[in-house]
Amino acid sequence: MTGGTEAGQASSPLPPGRRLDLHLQLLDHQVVDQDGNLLCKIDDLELDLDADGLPVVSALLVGPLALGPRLGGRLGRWWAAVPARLSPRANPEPVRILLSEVIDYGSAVVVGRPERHRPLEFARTLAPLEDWLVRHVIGRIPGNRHESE
Amino acid sequence: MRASELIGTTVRATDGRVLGRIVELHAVLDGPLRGGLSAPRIHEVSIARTQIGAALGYQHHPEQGPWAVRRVMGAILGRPLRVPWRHLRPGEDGLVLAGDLRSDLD
Repeated sequence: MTGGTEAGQASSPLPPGRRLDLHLQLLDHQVVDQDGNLLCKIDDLELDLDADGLPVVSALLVGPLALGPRLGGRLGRWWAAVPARLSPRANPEPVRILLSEVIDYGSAVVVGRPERHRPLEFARTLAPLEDWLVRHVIGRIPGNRHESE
Repeated sequence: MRASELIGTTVRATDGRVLGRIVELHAVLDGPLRGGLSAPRIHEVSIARTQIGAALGYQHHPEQGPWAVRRVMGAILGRPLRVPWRHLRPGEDGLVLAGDLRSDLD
């Protein structure tokens, strides 16, 4: 995929290599595993400055703790506060997908490491509210188990 | 630093004039090798008058789409300016575009 843009006033050519417009082609895009299972969407990107002073993407951030600050305002604070409150960790952080786990940047981002990215477990990590409801409410309703279990 | 902190950041000229806000981060996969791919490294940013519609990509291909949408988005976004990251410096209120680059966003 070549995502380079030609519009605007390009004041200098980009160096050779595959181009990626981070806002248009990465943020809010789907993350899938190698089997095509939907895992999550990219809510934010972690950036570090390299030796040349250029920002380099170091991780994909997913989950409400990443999306909340991006939304901003009261809604953003609420969006992040609920899962932070329900998280068992003292200092909850957004879920980070390391770039070393990324296999391809396409219309969806493909990640490897299936042992870490099992869809159900990953979804529970991302949505502690849903996980809490499953464990404390749904799980206590008689006959809550799926037929296949 | 997060990408969301950069997107929307106000960019000013050295004389303090507001040039616009960052609406896009243009990267090239030429950073350190991470797994089988090089990490995306930001070389340029696009600056526009507003972020409205920027997530839809209208600033990238202003010549595409129905003419009515083109006219409306063109009026909203103006003509985005692409500048190299190395020309940006931290300022008191966002970033400052150093050097002699000037926009025709007005």
